[in-house]
Amino acid sequence: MRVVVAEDTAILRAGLVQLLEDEGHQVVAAVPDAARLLSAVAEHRPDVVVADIRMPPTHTDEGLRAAIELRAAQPGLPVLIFSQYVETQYARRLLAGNSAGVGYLLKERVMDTRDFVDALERVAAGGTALDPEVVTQLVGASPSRSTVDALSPREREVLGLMAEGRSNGAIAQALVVTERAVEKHVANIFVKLQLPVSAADHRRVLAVLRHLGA
Amino acid sequence: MRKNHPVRIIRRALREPFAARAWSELAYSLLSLPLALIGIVAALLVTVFSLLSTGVVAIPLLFLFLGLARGLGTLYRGLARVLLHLDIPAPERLRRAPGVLGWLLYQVADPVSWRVAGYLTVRFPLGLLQFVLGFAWWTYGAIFALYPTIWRFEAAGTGNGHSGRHIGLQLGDQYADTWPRALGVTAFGLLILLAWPWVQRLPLALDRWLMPRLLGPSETSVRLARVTETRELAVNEAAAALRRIERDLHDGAQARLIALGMRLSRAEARLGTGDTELALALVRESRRETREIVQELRELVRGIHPPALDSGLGPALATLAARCPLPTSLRVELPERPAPAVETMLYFAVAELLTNAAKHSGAGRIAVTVLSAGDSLRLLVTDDGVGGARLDGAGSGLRGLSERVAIADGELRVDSPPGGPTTIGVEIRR
Repeated sequence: MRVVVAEDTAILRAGLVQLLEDEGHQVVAAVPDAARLLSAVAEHRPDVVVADIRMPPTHTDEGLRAAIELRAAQPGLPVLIFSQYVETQYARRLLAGNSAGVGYLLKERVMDTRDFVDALERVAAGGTALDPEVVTQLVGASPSRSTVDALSPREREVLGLMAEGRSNGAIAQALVVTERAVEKHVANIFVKLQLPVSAADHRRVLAVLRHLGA
Repeated sequence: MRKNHPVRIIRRALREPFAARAWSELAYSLLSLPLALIGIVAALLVTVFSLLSTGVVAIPLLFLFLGLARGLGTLYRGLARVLLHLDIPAPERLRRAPGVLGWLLYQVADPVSWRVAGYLTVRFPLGLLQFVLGFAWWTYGAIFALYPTIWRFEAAGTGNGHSGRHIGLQLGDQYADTWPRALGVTAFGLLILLAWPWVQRLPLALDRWLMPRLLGPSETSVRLARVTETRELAVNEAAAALRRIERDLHDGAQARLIALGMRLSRAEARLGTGDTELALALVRESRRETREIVQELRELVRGIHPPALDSGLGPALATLAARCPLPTSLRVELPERPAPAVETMLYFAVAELLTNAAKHSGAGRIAVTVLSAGDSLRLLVTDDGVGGARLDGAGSGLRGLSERVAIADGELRVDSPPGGPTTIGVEIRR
């Protein structure tokens, strides 16, 4: 994949480039701020963008605004936002409209190289990758929290993994159960939350996220 | 000693009646009488009307009187500023509570107005005294000094001056109707005029003492204004400090730990593929990185609360002085330990002043002194550099430091003439 990286901390930017190149991806541009991110994307037309939220000049949400702007100009452009903290409001803004090809991860996830690259590839392929922390906050702030509370603990686990953007196979692996069992849980969740059943992974995520109010 | 040389004193005394100050004070004394009369007449009228009439009439009269009093207060402050060079800030009135009662209390129970009313009452006798010792004294002095002219003029008016009637000033049964006597009167007048500037200053001294107390803001309100201001500074300063710490952690240790994790993750992957040499290099780098992160955190912690302060200001300042790139001498003489907040403030003040001196002054050495002086502590940081440090300089770090010192109820003073040396003093209540 051809990747554009935007990260203002030099040490992390270098580490990220190294990590992606180790994994056989091509970093076509690594920039330190949002303005240069916009021009780099226009110039290189990457397969996926990795961007920090907090960047100069104001160190608030430059990266997020740039990501939203990029996706408005080029719908479906895969963008993985990563940050040192999770804000529900940021997740909502990012997921508003279309959650296909969107990711929001905490920065420390890059330490699990395999997981991080999986998430990036999922986003690049039009899927979703949300940090478990993001999902927890979305559930916590959800207006339909009472219906979520009606789920069994196992079902809530499955819901979380689903919201992160994982497939049934990946969920089964993570929970060390059979795929068949996961399918059963998913069906129960959709019944309890009164959601229309959908086969496609990212539509399913979308339905769950809508339900959570994202 | 030169200052008190008799010739100098006499010269000064002779010059005094011609000094601008004497004349502006004379103008003030001249205005004293009509203004004192207005004040006392207003007060008397209100009292008399209130006693004669029912309360219904008295209350609006009271409003009128207090309004007039405030107006006169403003007038007196203006006169004092222009004629006496006495700057009295206008007092701030109490905030008005909502509702009719609030309005009534705002009008009637206003300490500012009543203090002015008090001043107007005292002002009447004082004004008379000022008028007499100022304007009247000067007038008599002038008349006596010019006596021969008046005497001759008057004598000419009544014929040849030998009509049997005495012409001239009478003292007992003596008349000043000969030239030597007339010149004696002139000498007396000149003496009066010489003494006049000092004589008129007597009642003015009392007025100068009274005005700031009755026409200016009360001590409590000055104190309150200062507390309000420093409280705002303290709140902002605390928020800024937290933001700074958050930034330092976010961009520093937190980011470096993530980078460290990434490096270790790569080392792990290398070990999996059997590339031990590269894995070893990555682990070595990680160890170095870890040490740097620990150092960075230590610096950050020192910026929040220096651990050295736990064992007292002296040892903490000794550490600071030792870390300063310029040779720094230190003298700390405190009979007892100050409050923790004071110690922390002084510590950071010294840290900042040492950094400033090392960076901007071009000094060769710095001296830091902490002494107790009465019920306050005094910090002095002196360097032999180029000077020219200013509290209000553009982007001056001293401004910020001065605000932080004010938060701890202290005061920062800068003495830094161009060419040096520079002494920054901090005085703070212990």
